[in-house]
Amino acid sequence: MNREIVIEAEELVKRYGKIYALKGVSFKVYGGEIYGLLGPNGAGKTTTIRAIAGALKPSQGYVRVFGLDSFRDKYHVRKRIGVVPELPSLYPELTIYENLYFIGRIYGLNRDRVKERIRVVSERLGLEKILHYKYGRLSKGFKRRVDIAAALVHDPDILLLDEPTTGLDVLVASRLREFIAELGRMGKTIILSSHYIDEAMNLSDRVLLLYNGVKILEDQPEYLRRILQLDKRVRIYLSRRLDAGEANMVRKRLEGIDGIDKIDVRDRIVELHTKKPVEIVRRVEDLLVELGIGIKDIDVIPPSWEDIFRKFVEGYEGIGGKCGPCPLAGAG
Amino acid sequence: MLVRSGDAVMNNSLIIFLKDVREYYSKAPVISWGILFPLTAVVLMGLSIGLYGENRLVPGMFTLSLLFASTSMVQVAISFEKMSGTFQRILFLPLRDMELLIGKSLGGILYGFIGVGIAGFTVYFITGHTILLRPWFFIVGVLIGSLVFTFLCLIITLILDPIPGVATLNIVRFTMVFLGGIIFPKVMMPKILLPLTYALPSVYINEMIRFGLYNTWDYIDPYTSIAMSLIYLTTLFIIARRILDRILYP
Repeated sequence: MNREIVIEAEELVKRYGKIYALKGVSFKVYGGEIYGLLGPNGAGKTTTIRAIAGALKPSQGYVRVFGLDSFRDKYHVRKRIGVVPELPSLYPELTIYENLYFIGRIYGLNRDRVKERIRVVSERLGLEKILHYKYGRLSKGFKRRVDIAAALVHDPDILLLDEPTTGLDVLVASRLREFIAELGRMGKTIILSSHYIDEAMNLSDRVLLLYNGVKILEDQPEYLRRILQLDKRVRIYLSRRLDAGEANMVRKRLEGIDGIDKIDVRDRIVELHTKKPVEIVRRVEDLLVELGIGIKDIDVIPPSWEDIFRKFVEGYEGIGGKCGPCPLAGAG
Repeated sequence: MLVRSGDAVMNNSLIIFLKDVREYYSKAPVISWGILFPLTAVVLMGLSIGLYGENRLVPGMFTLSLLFASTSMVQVAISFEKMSGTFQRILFLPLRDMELLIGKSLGGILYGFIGVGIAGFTVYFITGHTILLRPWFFIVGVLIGSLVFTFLCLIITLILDPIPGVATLNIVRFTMVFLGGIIFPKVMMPKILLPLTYALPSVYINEMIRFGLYNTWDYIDPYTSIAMSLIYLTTLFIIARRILDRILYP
């Protein structure tokens, strides 16, 4: 990573009628950095990506890419960026080769150069043997690879990836993350939007946390990880209803187990909040067997985005960080 | 510099055009609405020539074919791209809206000329007519006509979702066929409907084609037709560009 600022957003606002998609977001991205945009659906990640690509007119504020206004100079800005949109969006009736050729030519590459680039990117992405396949007939995983190849065909300085692993199976998503990390090591500046916390944390050099169009905070993943010591909810479905006495007894025995932060026993459900779900489930199973209470099912429920953001804000301010204008202010 | 940037515009427009031809030329709606339907209609019109007279009906055969051929290609290209999400991807490519507009229009012009060629063969087989008395009028009429119909279709398909877009386009097409001077000569058109006829661009395009074929006119003289067609063309182009701009950069 170098310290040259390649993207700079200043007080970026995007309004559609009365609805605000972005409410004054500012950030800087340095050359060679993987910069994560993290947030739930509707946080403003895609709007931010589109603003960087000059694909929407900011209501207020600006985005500069290599010093150029991304909207007013969009033609020149787009020549230097590659975009992988959230959904597969190449031409289904054209082959992979024809799609890449079309995109490369639009980016201004001459015939020889575009052929050379197709060879390079298809080898890197393992597409060289299926270049004659029609895009519309590919699996989701291969479509994603072709989308990335299309974004790389003109060898851009900046790559914008909008939810690149959404909808992919675990293995394909994992391979794709490895490839993104490899691109990062090669010095590409990458903007990675994701609603998967682990994905953004593991791949990014820095993360911008968005919620309801507001910048919550921007920092290195290690800082965010320190704050993200969140409880998971373990919900145990019992085979029968507990009477008041039994419920009381179960509650008391559970209180004696270390690592359980909150206990709720009602009807046929025991719900626990813990940071160590695997260990706790094992101990609670033993306890219930000892008490002669059968277990029907167990769910481990990850924290909700609402929990995460509340925790982020509290935790970050707790270690001396400064949260931006917080949409959760006053909540909880 | 101007020439170079003009070259770049044409170059990108041609790339879009060639991609569209490759992607959409064999799509069912292009074949059925752009070729088969006008062919059938033109043959049926040809069979009625004895009823209305050759110079009254033959120009309409060309205009009808031009109308359906040029609009079907654009309608399919835009609708399929809207549905597949590829139209939204264009947002991220280094394309000027003019390049996109021209690129999308070239398909309409090409299919317009193909439609006219098909009508020409049909007319030849039915009437044996081969002579263009005013060839330049004919060619200019076809060219302006293909552009007017293309931009009109572009506006409808850009504004509306694909399914209501097709329905609206068909209402516009058939209004022009029946009330826009394509089938019925002026003497047969009820006077009360004439203002509507003169408000439709098809009547002027049909008159230019008629003048090119037979050196005669029915609804309006050929020079006024050229002027009116150019006004329509300019207006529709400006509207299409503004709509495209609004859609591309909300």
